[in-house]
Amino acid sequence: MGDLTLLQLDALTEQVNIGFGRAAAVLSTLLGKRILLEAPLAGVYPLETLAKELSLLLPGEITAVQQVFRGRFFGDAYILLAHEHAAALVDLLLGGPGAQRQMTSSDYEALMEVGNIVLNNFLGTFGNLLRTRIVFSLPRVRLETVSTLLRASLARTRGSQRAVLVRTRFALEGVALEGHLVMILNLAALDALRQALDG
Amino acid sequence: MFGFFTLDTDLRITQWNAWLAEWTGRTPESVVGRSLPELFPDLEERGILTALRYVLEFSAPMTLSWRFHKYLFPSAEGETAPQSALVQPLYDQEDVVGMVVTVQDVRDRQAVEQELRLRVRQLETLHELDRLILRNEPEVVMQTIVARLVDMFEALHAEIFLLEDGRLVLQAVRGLPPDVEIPRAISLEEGVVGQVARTRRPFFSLDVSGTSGYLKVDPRTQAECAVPIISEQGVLYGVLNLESASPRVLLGGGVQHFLETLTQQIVIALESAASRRNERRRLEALETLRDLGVRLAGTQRLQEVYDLVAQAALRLFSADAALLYTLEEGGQPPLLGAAQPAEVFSAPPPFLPQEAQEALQAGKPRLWRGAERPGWFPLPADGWRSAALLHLHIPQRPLGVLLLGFRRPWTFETADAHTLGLLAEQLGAHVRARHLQEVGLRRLAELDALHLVSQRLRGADDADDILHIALESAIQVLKVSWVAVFLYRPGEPFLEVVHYLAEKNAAAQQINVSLYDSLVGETLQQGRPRLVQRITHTTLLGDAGRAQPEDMLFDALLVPLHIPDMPPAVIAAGAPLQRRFGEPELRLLDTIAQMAGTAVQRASLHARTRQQVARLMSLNQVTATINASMDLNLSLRVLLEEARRQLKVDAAAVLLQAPYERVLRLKAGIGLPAAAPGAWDIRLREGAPPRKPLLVYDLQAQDPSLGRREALRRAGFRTYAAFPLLVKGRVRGLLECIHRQPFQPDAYWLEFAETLAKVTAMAVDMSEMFLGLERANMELRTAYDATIEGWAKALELRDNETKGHSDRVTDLTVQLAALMGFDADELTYVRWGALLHDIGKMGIPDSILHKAGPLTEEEWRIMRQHPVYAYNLLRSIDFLRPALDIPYCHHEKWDGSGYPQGLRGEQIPLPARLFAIVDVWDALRSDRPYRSAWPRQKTRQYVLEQSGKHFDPEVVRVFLRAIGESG
Repeated sequence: MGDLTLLQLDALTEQVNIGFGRAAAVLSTLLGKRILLEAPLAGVYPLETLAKELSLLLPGEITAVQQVFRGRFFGDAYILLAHEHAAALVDLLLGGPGAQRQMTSSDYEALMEVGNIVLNNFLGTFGNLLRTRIVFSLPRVRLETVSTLLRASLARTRGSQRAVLVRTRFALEGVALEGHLVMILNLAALDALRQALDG
Repeated sequence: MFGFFTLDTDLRITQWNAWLAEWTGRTPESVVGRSLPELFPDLEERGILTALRYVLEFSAPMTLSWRFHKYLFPSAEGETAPQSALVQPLYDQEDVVGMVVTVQDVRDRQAVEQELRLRVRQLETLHELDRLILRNEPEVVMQTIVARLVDMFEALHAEIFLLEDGRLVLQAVRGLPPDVEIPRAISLEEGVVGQVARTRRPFFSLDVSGTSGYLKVDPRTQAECAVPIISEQGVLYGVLNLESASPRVLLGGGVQHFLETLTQQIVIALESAASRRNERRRLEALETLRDLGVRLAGTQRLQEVYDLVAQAALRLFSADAALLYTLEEGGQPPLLGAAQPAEVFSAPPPFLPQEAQEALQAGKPRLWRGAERPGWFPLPADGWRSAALLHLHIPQRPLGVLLLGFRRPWTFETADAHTLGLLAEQLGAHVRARHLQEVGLRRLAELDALHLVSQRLRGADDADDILHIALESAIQVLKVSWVAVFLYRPGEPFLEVVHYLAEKNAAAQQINVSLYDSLVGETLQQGRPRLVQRITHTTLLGDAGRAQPEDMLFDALLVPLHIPDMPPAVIAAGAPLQRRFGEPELRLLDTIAQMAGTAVQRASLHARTRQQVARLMSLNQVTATINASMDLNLSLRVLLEEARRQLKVDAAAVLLQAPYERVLRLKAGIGLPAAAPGAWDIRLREGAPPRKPLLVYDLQAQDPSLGRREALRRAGFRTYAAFPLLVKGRVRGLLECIHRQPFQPDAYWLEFAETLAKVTAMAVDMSEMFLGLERANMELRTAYDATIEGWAKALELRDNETKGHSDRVTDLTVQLAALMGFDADELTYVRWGALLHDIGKMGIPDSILHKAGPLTEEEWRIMRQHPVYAYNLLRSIDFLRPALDIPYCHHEKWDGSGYPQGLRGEQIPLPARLFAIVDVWDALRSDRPYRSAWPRQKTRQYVLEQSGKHFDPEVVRVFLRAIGESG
């Protein structure tokens, strides 16, 4: 955690929560359901370490909504969900039983819509913080292992070493589901972030 | 096939592609430049405008899923179709100037996805079932299947029917509303389900109402899919049925295939449950068998072994009844060994029923399930649902039969055959051991019993006693209820009860049992022991048994009884069915019968020997009597008495042929009624009397043809026997033996009677012979007398003896001899001797004999020779030799001074001693030429003086007393 001071982390967490609050409001409007979105913890980690630890936490294939962003800074942002949590989230949102089940492409499409809104808001907050304009690509749903995803991102970002990790909690209909939001940054973006958090 | 349009930042349409134009029915010309919210006001309500504004605000792309938003635009006709959309901001340099919206109709995808989802649900269901099957009973699996089916296919209801006893029984159902009732069981002839089971082919119909045989259970049903549940081996287990209100849900491909896959899961569930059950049962069976082995090891008796095995069978097969029939010593039919549970049966058949024996002949087990009970199942109707008839055997050795009854449907499975084999092994091992032990014990008991019987029989001498003891023993040893002896009457078509003994002192009934249509008669004719079961009195006794209740069944033992010289007989014993007679009992009764037979024979031989001895003694006595007595009447009386005593006749008679007449006259009789003389005589109308014995067993029925039938009958006689008296080859008469009761003579009786007839004939012969001899003797003696008297007279004349001297001395001597106790013959010789006393003087010359004056010494010597002359003269005449004493010795004297031998005392024959006195007396009392007669007193005195000198003093005493009395 040497990248950010405790004060900086607190600030980051606060900013993420503000973004999540907005995302939750949009989701509630769009989907007609009351959704709470929280980020109890945020941190910045070396990508290698993160890949290892997340692989332990989320073994095997997972469901991920990926959004590539560009601008002054560029990188990948993911929402990582265990399969069962992904299915449960869709079910809860669509008014299903919430049971574990096999997902269809329409289900993934629905999940993509949710992930898109959360990531848009998070990245929007991030852009505001860095006072820069971020251009989003279209979101994608990927079903892969954590390490495969992150390794691909590492190659694409050409030497990015750091990632912001936000533990994310979706709460609706009295059920809370855990996910992880990961944003991979290049070093310039990290420096800018550090300054922005100090300021 | 995409809809595509662009908006400016005021949400005014700037482009509108052809697909959209076609779908919405609005041309690009009519919409470009116009505000989207105004053209489609419901976009606001459905939150889609919020999303569009968001894209503008955040310059971020956005996806709109049909799952959340359903659709963007309705069709021209107002229809909706699922539509997803992608919204991306449009940039001019860095500024967002509008957005591009791509609309996709996802109907195709939805269908694919729905199908996919269904497939996934199917896979999930199968996966779930896979897990369930491992740990759960088929019921749970089947319940899960119908539940998932109803969910998955939005079906009305789904059911599983399983085949049981030829019917389809409902096992699991889901989705049935409370007001609809489905039959619990349907036959193979009923409905779609029945048809599927019958044909073993799936049924699929989107409109079932027209299907023939369709059972309308749920009025909402329109579509139906039913598939048979069949194992890979082709065993039909049942039917899986699914009914739906709308054909739509069943339209998707693979419903039928999925149902078929499910039926495989059901088969696996059923089979794995069965195999688990079998495994469990095998474990339990092994435990039960182990337990049985331990218990069997502690048994002593065969019955315990049977009981334990039957109990084990009951447990091993979870049966409600177990009957164990066993083969002992290879006997047939199998006997009931044990029945379990005991309280179920009051009286199971003691032998394996005939039908069961026949059913088993093929050597295969018989199994029954269903409604119509088979003939081989012997238990009374009591809710039996299935039964089994199973062989129990170990290699090379059948042990018996196990009969199982179940009040539930039951199937014989492979594991059961194994269990049965193990049970048979246990039974075999212990039966063999116990059997040997028990047979030994039973033989010992039999020997004990027989020993007892033989001991008792030894004490009896009489056939009646012996049979009574035999019957008593049979009751005690065999525990029979009753036992009886049926004796055959020769010549009659029946047997008669002669002995009867019952456990409960029942009175014997005087009945005659047919020789031809009764088991008793049959046994007599076949001559071998037999055991008969479950018979009635009518079967046993023929018509004589009709008095007994016809429904009273019992078991009976029948053994023939053969005793030499007795008519054949049958011993029969009866006992209630529970007693269970077997070969050992039959053997025992046969042995008792044989022992009784031997005992009777022994007793009869003994009695006969005694009788023979008595008869021989009697014959001896009769012969002695006949020999001693010349009186035929006396001999015949003795003979007839002996006949009465030894031949046990009531009357007996001897008839002899009268000379020159054709009549047999009654000579002697006993036991005959008083009648006029001649009443018992037989008038021979033609020919001679019979030369052979004549036997008439029943005078009431037969005529002896001797003309006296009426007389005999009137006298109350019943049996008549006549034996010819043969004398020198000629029939001289008859010996008649008569009984008042019917009498069957045996060989010994006849033999003795014939002997008696011979003795009688002998007596008659002897008597006749004697009579002839006596007459001849008499004639001879008269001739001798005359001769001798003539000689005496001649002597008298020559001797110049006083006339009449010879006569006088003879008479007196004879009188004296009679007094001295001489018998008639002796008296004859005394008389002859007295008459001839001086016969010797015939040899004395006249010169000496007639010399007047005294004789010289020489002349006296010659004179004294006359006794010697007499002796020499008479010695050669046989019949006179006994008369020699007086002529030879009348001159001897008591004191020995007489002549010719000088004998003394009792050396002198008594007749001579008598005569000496008489001679002297008569001489002295007579006048002589040389003197006159002496007076009586003087003579008496002289004789007294001479007593002890000349005369025998004893004779003197007798003589004088006789003389005194006479004169």
